[in-house]
Amino acid sequence: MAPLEPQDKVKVSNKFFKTDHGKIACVDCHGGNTGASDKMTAHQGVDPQPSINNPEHACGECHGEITDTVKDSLHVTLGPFSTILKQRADMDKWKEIDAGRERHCGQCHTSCGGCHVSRPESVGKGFVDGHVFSARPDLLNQCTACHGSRVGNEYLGMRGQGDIHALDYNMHCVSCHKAEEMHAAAPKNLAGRYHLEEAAKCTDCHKDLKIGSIRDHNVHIGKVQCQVCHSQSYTNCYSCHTGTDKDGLPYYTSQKDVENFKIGLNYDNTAPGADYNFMLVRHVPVDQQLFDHYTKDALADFDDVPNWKRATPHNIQRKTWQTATCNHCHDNRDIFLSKRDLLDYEITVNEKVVVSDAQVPAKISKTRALDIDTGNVKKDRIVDARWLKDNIDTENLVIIDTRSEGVYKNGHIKGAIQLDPMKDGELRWPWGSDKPQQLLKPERIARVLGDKGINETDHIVVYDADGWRAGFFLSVLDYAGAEKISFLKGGFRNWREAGLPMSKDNPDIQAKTFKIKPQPQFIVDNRFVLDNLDNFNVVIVDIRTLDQSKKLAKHPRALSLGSIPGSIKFPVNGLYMDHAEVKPPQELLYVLKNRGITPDKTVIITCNTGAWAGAGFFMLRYLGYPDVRMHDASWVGWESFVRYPGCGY
Amino acid sequence: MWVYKRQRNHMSAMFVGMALALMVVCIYTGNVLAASSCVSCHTDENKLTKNLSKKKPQKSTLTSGAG
Repeated sequence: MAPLEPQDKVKVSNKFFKTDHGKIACVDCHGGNTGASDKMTAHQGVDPQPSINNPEHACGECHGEITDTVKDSLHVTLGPFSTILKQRADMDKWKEIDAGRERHCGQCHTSCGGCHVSRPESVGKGFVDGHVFSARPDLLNQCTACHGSRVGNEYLGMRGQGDIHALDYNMHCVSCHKAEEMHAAAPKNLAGRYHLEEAAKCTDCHKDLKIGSIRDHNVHIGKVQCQVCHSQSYTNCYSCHTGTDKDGLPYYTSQKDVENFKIGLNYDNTAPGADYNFMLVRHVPVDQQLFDHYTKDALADFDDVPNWKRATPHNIQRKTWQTATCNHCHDNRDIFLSKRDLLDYEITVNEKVVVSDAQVPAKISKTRALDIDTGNVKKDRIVDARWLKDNIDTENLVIIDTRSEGVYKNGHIKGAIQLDPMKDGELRWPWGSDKPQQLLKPERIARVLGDKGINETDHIVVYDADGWRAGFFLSVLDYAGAEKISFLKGGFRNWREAGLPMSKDNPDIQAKTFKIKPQPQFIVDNRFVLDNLDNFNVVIVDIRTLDQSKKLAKHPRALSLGSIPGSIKFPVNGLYMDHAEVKPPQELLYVLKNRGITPDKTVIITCNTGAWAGAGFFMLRYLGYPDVRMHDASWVGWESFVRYPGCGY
Repeated sequence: MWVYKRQRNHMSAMFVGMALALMVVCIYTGNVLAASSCVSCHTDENKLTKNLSKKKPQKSTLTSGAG
């Protein structure tokens, strides 16, 4: 979400005055000094956030039945934060703990205005649409502005494939989380958000599943939470610590986040609809030292509340790896939370969540074999830290770090050479040229590679922080005819966490000659895409995140929202996990097949400018797809091409 | 005489009515003026840009992690 300029935050649009709210005098809600002509005098006594500071007056005079309850709603009070914290806290220190809670956790509370007019305070405020009131909050600027790092990212495919409710049904948050839930008065000391009677449940729409046609529902309902079968992996955060910086600003640091998937025991079936034995659990970053900045030993009763907690990841798919076959859960010890997954200070607190060996459901003897062929997977194209450690001194092994220069200088794998594939003009035509961001001519690419000490016969191992940048560079190497290329699974983080050799020094680069052998069959242009829109043997995959492919947001350089007609939406993060982890190839082949992206088709991958497309291209080539191609111009080039056919895009 | 009294009562009522109407107009005009002074600034991008300073960021650079 792009930050707003100061003037854009408070500029009122003319269309606002045509609305009912626009016919009310500004001073009626905001106060201020009537009749003044200078800013300072006019603003004396003004309330910029009347729905927070005086909701009964600002909103309640017309919307009384809502303001009567919303003042006690979860979004306004964030009640369960305090409830749960009190269970862990040394109550003699509650004053200091509560001050910390308010300063850090409490910043996300909101009001009528934060859902219906402006961006929330936690993301810098500012009008979403020139002060126009919208009954339906804005998904990007309001809902996921706060619910971003987990819910928003998982829903929109910034992690994983995205949620089918967005992907196939274009559902907004409020499709499930209706006004009745948002405005509901939460009882005092509510145990948690799942305990709210009005909270959305799958069964609000998906009714009568137990007596429906799907046998697996008959078997599992009442035993297993819906998300166990229908969610993808999700983020888990560790060890949040709070503090104040030298400017007096509050900050937090979390030790790390891990994309994972764990099934735990349901330790609280008192929440409405939670009558099952097994549920997904997510590690939350509460830590015994969370509030040390405010008071020591604040959470003396830390062990009273588990920190592997019920999770409802917003990344639902009808078919997941869990539903592929029974024994992906049954008899699969790894998918269930065990003591091995716990940090040493968490063992006691999570005793009632851990699934013992005896509690892991037994293997199902008769299951249908999965029809997934991994025989064509190019296994050597993905290596891990252990492999690299063992082979780092191999002659002609070149390690490339694709992170930005500043990050590289802070520490990199010893001997790694920095090459930022996203640097304007490095491997692609710069912005402002005739072919913005399309791959440079082969001889230019060859020169760039040679200058970095790479030739076509080297074994080139590429790493990254997130994965897709390395994937994009590997696609360029593949296009250039490099003979041996590999992606470092786990990226820089795994290497660092394993304590393997790092450096801040630039290695000595011996320039080489890269004898480029361009593979034109790996690239398609706009004309090819246009000519094959209706070809059933061609699949066009829009690999952008769902906010873009579903026309909610656009690349800063794009002319408009949109996507190529008939393209299948499959976000690149469905192929790359957080921190450059990668799922097993059979799982990736399975999820691609479920989306109709199969090896028997010509698969064209498109995005905004070709980088994500390249990352997707590398992965599908790794998986053994025989005919996969990158749409070099991608959306930014495509929309100019279709608007101005004669201009040569 | 009686006719004159009726005329006087009628005139008084008219004056009171006009005074009331004038008061309402003043209040409304006042509000409109007040709204106008808000509106004249808050719909003018140039005025806003001139009058608003780039505030210091409220988020600490030490913040790290998913949040």
